[in-house]
Amino acid sequence: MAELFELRDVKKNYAGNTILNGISLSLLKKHIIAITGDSGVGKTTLLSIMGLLQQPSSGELFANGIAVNKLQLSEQAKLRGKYFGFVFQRARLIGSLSVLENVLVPARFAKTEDDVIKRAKFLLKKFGMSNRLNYKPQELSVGQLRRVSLARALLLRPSIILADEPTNDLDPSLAETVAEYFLQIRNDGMSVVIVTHDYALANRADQVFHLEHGQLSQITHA
Amino acid sequence: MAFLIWQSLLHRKLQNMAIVFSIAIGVGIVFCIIPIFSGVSKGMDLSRQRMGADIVVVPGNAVMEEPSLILFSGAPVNIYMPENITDTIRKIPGVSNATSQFFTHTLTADCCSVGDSIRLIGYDPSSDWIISPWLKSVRPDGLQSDEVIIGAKVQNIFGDKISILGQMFKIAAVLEETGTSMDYSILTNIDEARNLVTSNPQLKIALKDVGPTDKLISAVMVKTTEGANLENIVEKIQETGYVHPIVASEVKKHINDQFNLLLYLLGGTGILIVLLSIFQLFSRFYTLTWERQTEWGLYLALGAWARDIAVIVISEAICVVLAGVVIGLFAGGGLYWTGLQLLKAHQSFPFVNPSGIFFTILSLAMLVVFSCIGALAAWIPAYQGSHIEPSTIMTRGEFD
Ligand SMILES: Nc1ncnc2c1ncn2[C@@H]1O[C@H](COP(=O)(O)OP(=O)(O)OP(=O)(O)O)[C@@H](O)[C@H]1O
Ligand SMILES: [Mg+2]
Repeated sequence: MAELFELRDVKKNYAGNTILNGISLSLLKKHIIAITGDSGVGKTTLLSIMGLLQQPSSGELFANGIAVNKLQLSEQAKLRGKYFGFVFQRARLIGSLSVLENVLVPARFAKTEDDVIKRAKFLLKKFGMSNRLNYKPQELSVGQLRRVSLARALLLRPSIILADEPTNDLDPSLAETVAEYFLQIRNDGMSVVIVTHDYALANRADQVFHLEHGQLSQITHA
Repeated sequence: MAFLIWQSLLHRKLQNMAIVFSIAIGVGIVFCIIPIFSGVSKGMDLSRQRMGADIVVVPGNAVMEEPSLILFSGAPVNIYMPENITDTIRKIPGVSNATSQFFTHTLTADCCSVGDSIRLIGYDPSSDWIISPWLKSVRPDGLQSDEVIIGAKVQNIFGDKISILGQMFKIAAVLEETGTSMDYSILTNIDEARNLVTSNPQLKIALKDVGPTDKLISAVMVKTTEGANLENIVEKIQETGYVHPIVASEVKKHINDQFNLLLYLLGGTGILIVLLSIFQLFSRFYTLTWERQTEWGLYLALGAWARDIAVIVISEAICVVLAGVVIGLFAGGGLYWTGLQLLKAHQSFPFVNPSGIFFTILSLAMLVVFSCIGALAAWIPAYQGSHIEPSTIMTRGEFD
């Protein structure tokens, strides 16, 4: 199957501390990868390097065969909008915007012909948020914020969803809905990288990796 | 994107209002001070040019609280001295010319402005050198006996005619604005001015103890030769009778000093306030944008380009600045107008209204300057932010 995204020998140090020590990973189209690991091992760091939110100390990143980490920041910004949908560990919504408007933010920077409002409402309904469309982030619970940020990441059907603990703070049935939905969006051609402690979720991925001592080791093959 | 900008402005209503008002105050004060500054300095220039006499001689019994009033407002009305003084003064060595003027006034509610009486200045065309040269340029054949020259601000309801003490006169010319009480005066031939007094019973009674009107004058304008000793001349003038000579150059210097001080104060305050509001504008926008780098980082993560961030940041800043400047312009305009009324209550204040073009340019300049500063102040941190890793700025400001 086509290789969508690839990390080659990626390393990251923070002030002499090696956090990632030679990570190589390929992400295939329509695949789900789960990454587990203890707190503070560098899972979030890895995701943000993949999403071009920060530069690795060394190593290379390829998107459709292009070495993207060599691109200029402005080029990376262009790529980011098309390629990635982020679900941050902390939900990160814009305080001045309502739930629906927050979900629509990516569409404001992208030229799209889609009926994004319809899609935003659909996604919010999917995650049980349709009765909160006009709430402000300050008026939501942590789990609700996370669901809004999930909808926002999915809005433009990006090639890759990078989800940092997407089911944290969600009750089991909602977590199940999210897991189901990730499986489902593969059919739209999307791939997903999930960082999670939730083994129920991890076990539904095509591949599961464990991050320890700056290295990834694969646990199961789908 | 306009939507994001608008929402964000609304979201920080209080902060933005605070900036709007601080800009408005700065702009308002500046917009009030600069025209006053300009009006006063123009008025001073004009009155310097127009005060043609080196020494003004008025009757000795004229009560003078402030000599400048005579230069800016003319001599006291209804106090007279004999006409032959002019000839005597003319013969004093160092005096190159002397001309008589005769002052009276219209009666309240007489012609033009209801309530205020208007000063009538009769000048002597045979010896005058102050009004005549100017008149010649607009009216080569001089002033006829049924004609008057009116000050720039004399209200006239009859078009090219004016009624003074019950008689109709043709308006030969309108003086340029001087910023002094000349603007509210009417100039006629000295004989005509005297006739008006004689033919008016009320005024005639007031003059009956002084002597025959046609031999009276109110002031002598004296021109000295270049480099003449003013002190000597003043002494000689005092010897001619019960008169009071006022050395214009001294008064002018005194007034200049006073107004220069005022101008320095106005100008200094204006500059300080401009600097202050610019500084404040800059620091407000700078810190505001800096605090919001997390937001810009998030926008970058969600597909915004650095350019999008710049557009958002600059538009927000400009919206706030524009609101502030517009409010400030109205407030400053009101302040200026009120201040002007106060100044005008004292007619001895030389002031020339700045033109509409002046105000337009000033308004535009303030709009442009303040918008640029606001935009720049907001853009710098946003620019810095959008040129480092999004993950870094997304977390920046969260814990510090
Ligand atoms: N900006 C930074 N500067 C220095 N060190 C950092 C920075 N960001 C992260 N680190 C360090 O990198 C390590 C990995 O952080 P990261 O957030 O990737 O962990 P994580 O695996 O996502 O943990 P968790 O499961 O708790 O979210 C941590 O030890 C952290 O202290
Ligand atoms: Mg993490």
